[in-house]
Amino acid sequence: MLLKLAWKNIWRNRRRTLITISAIGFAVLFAVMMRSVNQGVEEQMVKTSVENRLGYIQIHTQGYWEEKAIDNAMFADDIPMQKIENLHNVASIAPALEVGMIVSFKNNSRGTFMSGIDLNAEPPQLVKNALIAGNFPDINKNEVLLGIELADFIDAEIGDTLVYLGVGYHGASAAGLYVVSGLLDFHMPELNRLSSYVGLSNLQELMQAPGILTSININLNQPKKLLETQTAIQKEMTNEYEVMTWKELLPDLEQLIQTSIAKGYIMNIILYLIISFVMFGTVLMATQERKYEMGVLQAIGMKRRKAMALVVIENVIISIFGVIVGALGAFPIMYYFHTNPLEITGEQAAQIQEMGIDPVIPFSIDPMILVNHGLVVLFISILLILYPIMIIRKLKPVEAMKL
Amino acid sequence: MKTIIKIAWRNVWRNRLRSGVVFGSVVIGIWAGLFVVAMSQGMLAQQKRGMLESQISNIQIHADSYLADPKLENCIPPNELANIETVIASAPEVKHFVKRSITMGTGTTASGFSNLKIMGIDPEKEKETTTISERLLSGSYFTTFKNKPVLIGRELADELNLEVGKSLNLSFQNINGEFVQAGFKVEGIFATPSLQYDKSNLFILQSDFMELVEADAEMIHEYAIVIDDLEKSTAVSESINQKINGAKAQDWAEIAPDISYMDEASELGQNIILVIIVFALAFGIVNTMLMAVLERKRELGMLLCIGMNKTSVFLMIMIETICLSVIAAPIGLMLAWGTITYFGIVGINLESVGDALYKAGIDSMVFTAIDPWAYVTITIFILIASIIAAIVPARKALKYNPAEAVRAV
Amino acid sequence: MSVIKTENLVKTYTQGDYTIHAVDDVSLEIQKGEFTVICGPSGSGKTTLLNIIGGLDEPTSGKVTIHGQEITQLKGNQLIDFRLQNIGFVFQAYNLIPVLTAKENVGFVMLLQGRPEAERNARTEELLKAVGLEKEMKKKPTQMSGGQQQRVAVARALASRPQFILADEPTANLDSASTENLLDIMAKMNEEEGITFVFSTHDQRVIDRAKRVITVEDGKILKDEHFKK
Repeated sequence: MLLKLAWKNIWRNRRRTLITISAIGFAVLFAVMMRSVNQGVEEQMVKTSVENRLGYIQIHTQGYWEEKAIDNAMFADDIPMQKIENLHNVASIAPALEVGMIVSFKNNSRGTFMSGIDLNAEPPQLVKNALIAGNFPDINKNEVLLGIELADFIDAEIGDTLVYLGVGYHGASAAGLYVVSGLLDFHMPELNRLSSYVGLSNLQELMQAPGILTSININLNQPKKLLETQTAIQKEMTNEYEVMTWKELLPDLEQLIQTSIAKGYIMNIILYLIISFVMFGTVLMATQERKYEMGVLQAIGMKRRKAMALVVIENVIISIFGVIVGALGAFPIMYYFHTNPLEITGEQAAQIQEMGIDPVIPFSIDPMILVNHGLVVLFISILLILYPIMIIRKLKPVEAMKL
Repeated sequence: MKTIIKIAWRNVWRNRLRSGVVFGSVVIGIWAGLFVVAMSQGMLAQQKRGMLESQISNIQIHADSYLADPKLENCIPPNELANIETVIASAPEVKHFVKRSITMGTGTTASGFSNLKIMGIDPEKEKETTTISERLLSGSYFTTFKNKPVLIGRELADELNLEVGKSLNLSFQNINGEFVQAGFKVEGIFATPSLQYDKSNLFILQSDFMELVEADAEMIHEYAIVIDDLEKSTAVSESINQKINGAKAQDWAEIAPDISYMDEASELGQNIILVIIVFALAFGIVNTMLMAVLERKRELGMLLCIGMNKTSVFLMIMIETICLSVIAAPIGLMLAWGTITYFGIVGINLESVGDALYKAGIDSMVFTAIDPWAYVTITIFILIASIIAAIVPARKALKYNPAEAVRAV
Repeated sequence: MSVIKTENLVKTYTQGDYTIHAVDDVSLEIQKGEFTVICGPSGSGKTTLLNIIGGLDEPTSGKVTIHGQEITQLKGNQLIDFRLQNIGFVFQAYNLIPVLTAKENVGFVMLLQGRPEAERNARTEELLKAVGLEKEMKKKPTQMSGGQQQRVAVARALASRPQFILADEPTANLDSASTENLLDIMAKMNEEEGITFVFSTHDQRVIDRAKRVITVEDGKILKDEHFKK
């Protein structure tokens, strides 16, 4: 009975219902937008540093991460590659070999990280995009791709022959002559200063250890399910290997993101203050408007408890409705700014690009944002029902019915 | 007009609950706007100050050739050094300055290697000019080890598995282009706000530097200068440039464009949030005033009946909102000023809000700080937004048909 | 010249499939100094007629001429200004400006007309005295009884020196003592100063006092009787 009356009341005063729904809907919208921008930027930071370079999860031999020596590396044949690749949530799996060496040309020498790329497969996106001059190494030749700052420093150009010196597996000497076949600009100073890329099998031979790998980099379909996937991979591996997530690999990035989250959290609290106030204002006005009606209901014999129940039911329905409307309204906007991110233009754009980030502000379309903030708004709006209940408690029908 | 204002003013006081809501929205709006700006500016200023104080200083001087190619041989011409120092010392704005010898080299331990910028410094002068000496996480500042001490950054220590007292092998070229190698003892580990800096920069004694590169004359690559007012950096560097030869002074913005980029990026982020706040606030005002206008339908209809024209009715409703906003503004301002000042001294601990795993350091504390002009601009911004928000309900009142409105209950 | 003249006034509303003739071909003239009641049951169309005469509602066809001005030609603010200068309104629910005192309420219309302050003050006091409220001048509507509020409304309606006063059910919310008191005041003004009053009502006490009673039913004039008082 009450439910029916509540439902009818909602429809009877459509104007008030609409205003209240819009207040709640906009509350959801604003809260979602704010989080969506912040999270979008955070996701982008992770994506640029993680997805293209390290992978979300890496497998190493125990001890390699502490001491990145070639003797702490592993061999491809010992790893159940196929099993890992078939795991749920694993998007791609890439064997990697990266060794520190000294590169010399003429009188100049410099430290470099020499990385192996599988020349039989599609080259990694990161390297492909960075290639600004020359070609990928020929699989049958000793050829190398060089970061542009490193090339500048040692004064090398395409076609020059460089000397690479390092320590191979089990102390074997590793020395080789490589011809520069191309130059790489990653838009990231650190990579430009340190990178050399050669064919993977070529580098394994140089190390005098065919099949040797320093890590296996794994990308995920759903980066959020990081820990579950880590556990699943660890199960496939023996204790000789450790499985690390990007959060452990890049604690600085994790720290940066946590700072951003904490800052965003405070911003959201401030926004919620305003939102609560707006919603309270709406509830307040709606309640004042209904005093007369409530007076009449009590005069004709409706018990207070029932009147309260009526108001609670009405408001809960309106709140749920408002939250749904807000979430439905927010999603297309999030989606729009996700696919058409705000662009940073001018001089700043070039500088951001130099830091290896796209000069755009993308929005996140993580559905959990809608759920979380929808629930917070729903909670606030249900909490605010206390106000009309308080009013009904104190209501005297005769006074309420006076105009 | 006077009477319209009077009626509007009394209407404000008639329904205090409603007025309270609009009033409160504006107060909170102004407070929130200012506080958000103060938080971002505070974070930014802290980072910027940290970077300038620990690494960049306000002005740096390098040889022209060094700017094109930072190599050992590209030092400031020795015969110019005396003149440059006189010029710097005679500038009234200059508070402190320091000279450094710099070369690129490689640091090696059993755990790996890293390409590094090796700076030879005079510890006493350096202490006056930069805050590196105060930023030691462990160890001491050139007091413990007599034989080839080195200060390294936290990131480098992590990467190369170094601790105070352990040794680090440095190799670089001497003036003849031959490689020299020497073992240094880690004297202290510092941390600046920039992880990148901490990873690739280290300090040794200038005397050790000169000895290892086998220089016969003093080789200086860099002067770092601190002046009394950051804002004068460009002017002072320009005036220095007019008096020196063979070297160039640059202000901090030129040396580290990423810091000025930080400025802009943070402003952009802060503006997006401001816009969201202003929209939320304006929406609240539209909502409340709209209800007010709907509730007073009969009264407004009567005014139209007895001959008040539409412009006056519109103005009356606008003035009600304006009155509320104008009273709310100073209160919001005071609230903002109070909280910004308070958190500017005490700080907000981000650690207490996020469940973050912070490393020890200053980064988890935010001290609010704000450009005084922001008080003016943001208040005006919010006031304009609230007045624009009042237009929607006021226009609604104009659409009333007086005959119907006057009978509405 | 008549103060109010309507010619073939028609007002129809459509509601779903029905067309309601709220005012159906009404032509009437009211002369200066008349004390006229338009009466009829609820829904007879008397309020619609009164609204059209008062320039608050537009007729579907026909015209209304007030003091020689055809008001059906006027638009928006012109019409509002015409009402301000020519018509005084008294409403069933008093409809005073709640935040102004009795004196300010009466003065308000003159202020809208742009009369000088001295004239406003003099006339306000004179009018409030005439309705017997010289002691309540500083009170706000919420501090007065219904009868007192309606007397302020009458004083307000008179303040602009209108051609006539339209009173829509002015006594509906009043007790009999207040009704008598209010009617006495209005009758006296009509007698002594020749002010024209047009009422819509179904209150017998008002009808008894009228010099002319126009009975309306289903939008048409049923009877138009003149009485000598």
